[in-house]
Amino acid sequence: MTDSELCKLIQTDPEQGHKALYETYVKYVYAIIFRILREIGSPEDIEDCLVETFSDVILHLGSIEGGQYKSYIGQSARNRALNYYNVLRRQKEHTIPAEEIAEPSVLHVQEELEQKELRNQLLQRIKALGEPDATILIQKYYYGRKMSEIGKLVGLTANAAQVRCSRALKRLQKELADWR
Amino acid sequence: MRKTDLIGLLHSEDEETAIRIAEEFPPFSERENERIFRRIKESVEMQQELPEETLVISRVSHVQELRRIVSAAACLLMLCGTFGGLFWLKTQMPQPPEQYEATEAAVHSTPSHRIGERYAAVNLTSSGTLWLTVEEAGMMQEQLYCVRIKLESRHARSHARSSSTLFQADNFMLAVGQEGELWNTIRPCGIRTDKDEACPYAFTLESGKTIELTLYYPLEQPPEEMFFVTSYCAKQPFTVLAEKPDPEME
Repeated sequence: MTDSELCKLIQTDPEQGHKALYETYVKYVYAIIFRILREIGSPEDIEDCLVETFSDVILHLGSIEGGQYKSYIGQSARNRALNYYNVLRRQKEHTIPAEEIAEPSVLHVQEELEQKELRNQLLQRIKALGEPDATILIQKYYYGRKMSEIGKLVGLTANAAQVRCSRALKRLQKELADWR
Repeated sequence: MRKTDLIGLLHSEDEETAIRIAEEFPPFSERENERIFRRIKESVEMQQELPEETLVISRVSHVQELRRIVSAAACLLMLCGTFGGLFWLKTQMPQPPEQYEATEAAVHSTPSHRIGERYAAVNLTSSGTLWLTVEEAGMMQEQLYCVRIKLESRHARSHARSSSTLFQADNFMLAVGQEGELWNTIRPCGIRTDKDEACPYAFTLESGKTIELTLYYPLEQPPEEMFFVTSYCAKQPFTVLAEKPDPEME
């Protein structure tokens, strides 16, 4: 759903409009927040930050100029995640500047390009593993979820999901053996 | 590739890749999405129910705060110093005679003092009455007119400062620096004039004791009036009704 469609829906039916806004942008917002908070925050912290971001956006929908929701939501998610990051970091008596959080690893341009290419290939290989193995690997090694939760997500028991995960990882390792 | 390499590579992603992963591998199931959306709705409703708040952002500088505190402390210190100084000055300044209890003394000044009559200088100090008796007057001694006075008190009186003399007699003849006579019943002691124009002197009248003063005057200037000086500037006159020297007696 595009931003203009969302804008119209929000004006005619706010309840449905808010639901559609959430469904359209939840992955986008989650990705931004998760990338900033995954090292320091718990899954609950990430979810709280997501809820606050969306409720803030919904409360200020009227002030978003021209219905440009994506950029507003993205910036709102970034700001709130950085606030969360600083609060959580302060609890550990240390605060890092926002620039460092935005770019955790300062790499040279060449290295960054290589890393990007590697990540693309890795993601393609993971996807090539097929479902539910790809989801299991990403949920396990990217989102850091527990195997019981992953099992529920893909419709397997925790043990079955664990077995599939081990096998998928071995296959992936074999395919990527010549990488390094 | 080891697990750690896989995690490291996945987690070193940029925002674009992160969004791509989230799009391709949704982080939440349908049920989780519904639960989270319910939370969002509750949060929105809760915030809408809250009264509108006006947020005022004020920049607070800690340096300015500190400066204010230091200024206030300095002002307070200056005020305290001023008042303290004034109070100290007030305590150091001699009080006007009216404020001295001793200077409030009123000498029974009557024109009828006679030789041998006891004369009460009441309330000369708060400690009691000072008695004055003109022992002799009009007698001649070494070609000078002589008046002998006795002072007595049941309480000790000390007048250490020449500016606070107890007794002053007009026309007293001692020159500056010249010693005169002052008798105590116990021991004689000297008196000394301090100024040309007057004869203030200091003495101590001990408790229960007497002091005798013999004052000499030129023959041509008999003491028609004498003064009790109860402070450095207030004086109470009294008159000695003594016979003037009779030239025929000589």
